Parts: sequence; structure tokens; C-alpha cells
Amino acid sequence: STSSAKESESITLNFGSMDGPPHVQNAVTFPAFAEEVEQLTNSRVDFRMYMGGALGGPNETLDNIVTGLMDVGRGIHGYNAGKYPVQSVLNLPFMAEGTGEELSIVAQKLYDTFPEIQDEYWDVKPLWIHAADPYAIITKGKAVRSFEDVKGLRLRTPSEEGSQMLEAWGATPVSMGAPDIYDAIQKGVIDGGVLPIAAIKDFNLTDLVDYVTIGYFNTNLFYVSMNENSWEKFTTDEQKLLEEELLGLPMAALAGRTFDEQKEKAEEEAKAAGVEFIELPEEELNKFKDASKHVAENWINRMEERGIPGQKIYDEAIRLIEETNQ
Amino acid sequence: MSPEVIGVLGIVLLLVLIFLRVSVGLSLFLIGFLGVSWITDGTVGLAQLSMAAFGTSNDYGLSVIPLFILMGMFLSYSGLGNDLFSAVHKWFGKVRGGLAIATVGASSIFGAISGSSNATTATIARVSIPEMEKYDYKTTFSTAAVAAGGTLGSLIPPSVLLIIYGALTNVPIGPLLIGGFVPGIILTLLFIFLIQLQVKVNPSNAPAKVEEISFGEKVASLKSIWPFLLIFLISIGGIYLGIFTPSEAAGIGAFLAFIVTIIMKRLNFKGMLESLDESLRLTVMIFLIFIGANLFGSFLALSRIPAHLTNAVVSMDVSPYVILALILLVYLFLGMFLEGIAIMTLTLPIVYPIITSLGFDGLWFGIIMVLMINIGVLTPPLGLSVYIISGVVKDVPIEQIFKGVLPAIGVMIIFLIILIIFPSIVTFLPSLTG
Amino acid sequence: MGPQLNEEKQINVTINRPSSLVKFTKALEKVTVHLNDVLHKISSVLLMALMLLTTADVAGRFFFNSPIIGTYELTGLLLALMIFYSLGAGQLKKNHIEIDFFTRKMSNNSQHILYSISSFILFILLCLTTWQLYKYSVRIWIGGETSGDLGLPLYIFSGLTIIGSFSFALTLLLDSFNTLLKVVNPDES
Ligand code: NA
Ligand code: NA
Repeated sequence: STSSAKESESITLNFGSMDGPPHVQNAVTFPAFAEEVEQLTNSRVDFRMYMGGALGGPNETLDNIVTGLMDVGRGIHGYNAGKYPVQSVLNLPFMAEGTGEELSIVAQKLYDTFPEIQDEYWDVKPLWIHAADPYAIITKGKAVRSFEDVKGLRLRTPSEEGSQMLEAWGATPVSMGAPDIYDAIQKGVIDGGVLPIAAIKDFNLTDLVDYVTIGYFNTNLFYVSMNENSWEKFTTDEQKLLEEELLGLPMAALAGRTFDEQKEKAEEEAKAAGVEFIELPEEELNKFKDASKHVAENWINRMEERGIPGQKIYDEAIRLIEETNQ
Repeated sequence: MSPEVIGVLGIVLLLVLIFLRVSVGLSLFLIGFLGVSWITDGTVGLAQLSMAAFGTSNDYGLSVIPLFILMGMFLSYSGLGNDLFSAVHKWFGKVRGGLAIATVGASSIFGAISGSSNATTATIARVSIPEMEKYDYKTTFSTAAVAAGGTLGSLIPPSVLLIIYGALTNVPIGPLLIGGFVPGIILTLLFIFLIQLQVKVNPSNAPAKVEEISFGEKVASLKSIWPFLLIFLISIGGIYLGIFTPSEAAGIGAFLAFIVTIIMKRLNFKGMLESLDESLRLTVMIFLIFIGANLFGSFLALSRIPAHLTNAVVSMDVSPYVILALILLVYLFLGMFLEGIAIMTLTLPIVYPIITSLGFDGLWFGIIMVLMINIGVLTPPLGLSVYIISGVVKDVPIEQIFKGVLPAIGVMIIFLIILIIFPSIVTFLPSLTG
Repeated sequence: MGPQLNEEKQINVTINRPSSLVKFTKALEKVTVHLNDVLHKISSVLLMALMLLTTADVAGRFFFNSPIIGTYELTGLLLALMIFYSLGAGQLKKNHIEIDFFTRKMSNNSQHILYSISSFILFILLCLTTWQLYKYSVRIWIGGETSGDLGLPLYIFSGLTIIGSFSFALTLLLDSFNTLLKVVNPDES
């Protein structure tokens, strides 16, 4: 009887995002999801979007989902340091060979495969997990054409693993919120950052930065999660339908693809504005890789110490990246 | 009940609480909690209590507030405000109305190291009013000079009001602070011009001239101005040149103020403790409003009122300037009854999206906002600045002080109109940085 | 005139024999003032630390190209502690912004009663906040959340704010009882 009561009752769910309405995940990915959900539930469930941090900033997103202010929220794993250590395997240096779509599929598949990763989402209902297109070294004034060039640079990075990678290269990691990046680069407080190429467009950096050094250095991870009680507002049939048709891989792939398309546009615009895109020679890239090798080793050791099969998860991540690449 | 109706009820109840003498920050916190709980669920509202309190205060960007306040307090408690006034006085003393001009000038310079209008007003009032009394200045005239000068403190960087504006709207704080500089200087000159006009029209405002002061003495007096210039140049200049972020500038500025006042033997241990104590109490007052505003902001967003209002205003078929004028009239009205930070936290979630969707510049509006608040601190019944001054001149009825500042308010309104016609007065300097 | 005199007599009696309300308020005042004083002093140290940390970070960056790792996260966390540990001191010195020109027109008694009730409601609100800060701390403790680059457990910091939140709550309770006393025996104040 509860199920039939549910069926007749239409509900509106709140979606919260720290990013503004023009951000591609808010402008493209989530509306596509919302439309699908509306169809699958015969217009019983619709979403109301609260963007630009109207319901809470980046640091508060996860707790706002857990405690129910947001029925659904989109956040960055790195903003809750220590909360997703196993999923963070994809934040490790050079775990980024692929497009945003491919890396997102890997992120989602890792979640689907390992209960150790699923356990990290115990307090929410994760809808999909995705990655960004590979991050590049984006700088103003100082070009990174070799491994030597990166030494001494002050670069912004959003994750712990990213900080460790930069330190391993002899660069100085600087933590700061995304809204401060423009100001900090303009003022020379930082030389640039390890950022997605799309960030050039998202943060209006086109006329500000001079160089983009490409190199599959790393990527970043994002979740779109639902409050557990909100998930129970769907009927069992609807839940099943959503799981089969939409949640997980299909949405992860779409989210990654959306980032890829944004990346193409940003790259075109940046090149048109005179930003130089630098491809590192193989031997230089290997120096970057070798210098930061221990970051992954440390991660594996840390996991194994905690009784988590770190090596197995790491190997599977590598295998998935190679498999998806083909 | 629809979220919109709950939202309106919440706003009404909030105003009732504020007028019943409940602290603004805690009123916002309480109504935010009740509103979120009502629209969503009690457990959601409860959880938001901790999120708002801890999340708001654990914010790197907001550290700029206590540090800039501390910078001003160190200099204020060192007594360097007195030296500053007498130095500026030596330069303008010969002119008729020179003490009033010195008051505005000293306020302007003190404003360059002090983040708050209140601190500027209080510091300058204590030294300048007794001096002007000695030379038989009319009280309405002398208190008006202090009141007008004090408002410069929140226009000339650093400015807590501008920082709060930036925090509430996500307009970058560095350019905002730089944006206040030129308007602050122009307004200083306008106030000085007003003083000369008032003295010319009615010489009894400032009957006596001060004795001639030798050039050597004038130059010697400059030595008490250098700490202010040095600290301003390094901290605000550092933001302008891009050497550090506003948060870092505030930390460095406070440190410099500390070192300079220690070296000059002007700050003893007791003065240091008092500076810290007063900075902290001012800081928590501001943060309590922030914490409340954070929760109230979530409630307001859930009520959908800001979204509806923005849509309604944007689809109206009138000139953006008509809407701007209406908004400014509302601010003039609110300024009579409410304190500045409260006005910003209450209105900006609704007004800022409207302003930017009308095509106005967000940074420019920050300066306009501060000017409106500055007018508010001079208007009855609640005129914080006038209250502070009336605490210094005990025997003057407060109505007289309010009457005396009317010409200054006139000048500020004219200046406001100038800024609306020529917004580049505000935006030019920030656009040069970097 | 008669009844009024009677009332005054009754009040005098209560003054001569301190009621349990008076005793309780006195004890509460002692605890609240002392506790908040200690926290406020810690706050002063934290503010100086914040100033020195920023300066050292910038100096390190400039002169040695080595900023202090973790300045960003430490600044936020120290700021949070500093705020929570001075909220009570601010309330005790009554410098939170209040607007009183409407209530000034009311009788003293109704002003006091209103103020006492609203303070008590805010006391409850702050008790709820304290409780929620505890629950939040437990959540992030279980979740293993850390500060970021330094890897400090986040629950320690949010946990330490609980003390500040509770001390602030006490100042509101004290306000409530102090104003209530003014209604019960106006001569005391
Ligand atoms: Na100032
Ligand atoms: Na006013």
C-alpha cells in the first residue's frame, strides 16, 4: 500500500551544486538526467536546481547531502579529504591516460567492482562517479617544456595526491578555492596550476595564461550523490528502472563526455587567443613519472596497512585504463 | 503552505525579532533554522545549525576580517591617532575652518589603515572635537566634520564593509578594495570643499584662526604620518601590485602595525591585550551575523523568493536606472533603521542577482552599497556614527548632530549620482592591476 | 497607593532572603564569566598566531621560495576556533549589534520580560547547535575526514568548537536569568 501511495504522490527533489548555472555539468549533464528521470517516473519526480552554492559551498556539499538539505548534490571528492581514500586511486599521478569519458567509465567501474570503494559511500546513495579530462600544467609567464622547468613553480592543486605529486617534482603546491584561481594567477601569487583545460574557459583564464603543458599528469574525481531518505521516495520499481537505465555507467560516461566537449571548445578558444600548447617529449614525461612514482607506492602501502587490497585495486585501475583506451 | 509564503513569514518574523532588540546575527540564525526546518524537515534544519556555524567560520578567505581590524586597533591603541591629527592640523591650521579640514584629512589617512568606519570615527572624534571646541567651532559644524570624515574609513581600503560585500557576492576582494581608493579620495576632497563653502557662507561656524606654524615645524610633524603611509603602502600597495592576496596583506599589515608601534614604544603589553580584545569582539559580532546569514540564506534560497523577484524585475519593461533608483531608495530607507552589515546580509542575496542581471558591474555596486550604508550611519533614528560622536560630546542634543550632518549627506548623494553617471571612477583602478 | 506599597514590601522580603533564583544566577554568572574569560584569552593567542602564520608563510615564500605547507587549511581552522572562543566574551560585553529604539518606548518590565524570553529561546537554539556540532564531529570522525595537506583529523577542530558553542549558550542563559531578576526584584539592578 505504501508503494501505491508513493506512486500517486508527485515529488520535487532539490539539486545543489557549488558551480554556477553555466557550468557544463549543471547546464548539460544534470538537466539530461532530470529529463530522463521525469520520463521514467511518468513525470512524478522532478528536480529543482540550486546552483552557485545557494544551498552551501564546496566544503559543505557532502554533509548537506548526508543530512538532507540537498536531495541530490554534486561535489568533488577532494573537498572532503580523507573521506574517499580508496576511490582516490584515480587521483594518483599519471592515472589519467584517456579522455574524460574514458576516465569516468574507469572511475565508475572501479566503484562497481570493489566493495571497499562502495563502503566509502555508506552514508549516501551515489548516483554516478565521474572524472575530468586529464589535467594539464597551465601557467602564466613561465613555460614548462622540460622536467627542470617545473621546479620552483608555485602551482594550485585540488587534492592531497596532487600536492604530493607536485612536491615530488620540486614544485610548490598551493591550496586555494577555485574562485581564487584567477586572482592568484593574475597577481602572481601562483604561477598557475595543474588544472583541467576546460578551466581556462570556466574561470575566464583565456587572456591570462600563456602556456598549457599536456601530459596526462592526473585527473580529478566528482560524485553526484543522493540523500538516502530521498532515494527511498522512489518506488521499488522506479529504483530498479533507474538503476538499469540511467545510474552508474551511462551517466558517468555522459558526464565525462560533457567535459570532453567543453575541453575541445576551451582548447580552441585558448589557441585562438595565443595560448601555446606544449607536448612534452617522451623522455621528459618519463622524468615527471619517475619522480612521482613513490606517491602511488605510498598509497598502496597505506591501503595495505589498513587491510585494503591496495595493490589489487591499483592494478585493476591500470588495467581498466588500458582496456578503455582501446 | 508554499515555500514562498513561508519565506515571507520568515522575513516578517525576522524584522519583528530585530526590532524587539534580539541580536541581528542570532535572529537570522533562529529564523533560518525554523525556516529550513519548516520547508524541508526538522532534522535537516538541526544539521544546518552545525554546518552554518562551523562551515562559515572555517573559511580561509574570511581571515582577512580579524587581521585588518587588528591592524587598525594596534595603531588606534598606540595613540598615534592623536599625533596624526595634530600633524594634519599643522598643515591646514592657517586656513579658516582648518581644524575641520584636518579632521577630514586625518580621518582619510586613518581610514587607510583602519578597516572600519566606527573605529575611525571613534578615534578621530576623541582627539579632534575637544580641539575644535577650544577654538569655538560651532558644535553642529565640528561634529559633522567628524561624522562625514569617519565614513571615509569604510571607503578607503582596507574596508570591512567591502570585504563583507565580496564574501556575500563572490566579487573578488582584492579588486573591490582597490576600487574604493579613488572614490575615497574624491569624497575626501568633496568634504573639504564643503567645509570651505560652509565657512564662507557662515563664518561663525569656525570663528577663530589658528596661529601660523613654521615650515620646519610642519615638516617635523610628518614623522607621525609615516607609520600610516608605510603600512598602507605595503599592505594595500601589495594587493595592488599583486605581491600578495588580501588575506596575506591583512596578516602582513597587522604584523607591521604591531612591530612599528612596539619599536616606537607606543604599544605596551596592556595596549596589545586591549587591541586583541577589541578586535576579537568586533570580529565575532561580524561573524555571528555571517553565521546567521549563511543559514538564513539557505532558507531564502529554498523559499524561491530571490529567484521569483529576479525574474519579475528583469522582465519589467523599464530602464535599468529606474530599478536602480528604486533599489537605492529602499536602501536609503533601510539605512535609517538598520545597521550596515545587517542591511547587506539581508538584501544582497536578493538584490545582487538583480543588479548584475540588469547589466550593472558587481564591483561598482559594492562601492555604491558602501556609500548607501555610509549615508545610513548618519541618518536618524539609528545613525551609528552619530551615536558614537554623541558619546564624546555629552552636552549636545543628538538631534542637533543629526541636523549638522545634513549638508554632508547632500554631498554624498551628489557623489553617488556622479558614480552612477561615471562608473569608471570606481572600475578604472582595479582594471589596471596585474 | 495601598497595593503598591504592599508590593514593595514583598519585594524587600525577597531581597533580604536571597531566593534560589538569585543564588542560581550568581553561581551561573561566576561559571559563565570565568569560562568565557579563559576561552577569550585562548582566542587572543590564536589571533596573534594567525597573524604570525600568515607573515611567516609570505616571508617564506618570498625569501626562501618555501611557503609553510598547510597555511591555507590551518588559517581556516584557527579562525573557526577563534570565533567560537570569543562569541561568549562578545555577548557578555553586549557588543552584538542590537536595535533598541522600538523597545525603548515600552515599559521597563515588558522590555525585561521580552528580553528574558528571547534570550532563553536563543539559549535553547545554542544548546541545539552545541548538540549538532557534537553529531557533526562524530560524523566526520567516522568518515575519517582530514584537514587536507597536513592530514590533521578534522573532528578534533570541530570537537573543540563544542566548548565555545556551549560557553556562548551559557551567556545567553545568564542574560535570560539576569533580566528575569530585574522583573522579580527591580531594586537589585
Ligand atoms: Na579603511
Ligand atoms: Na540611519
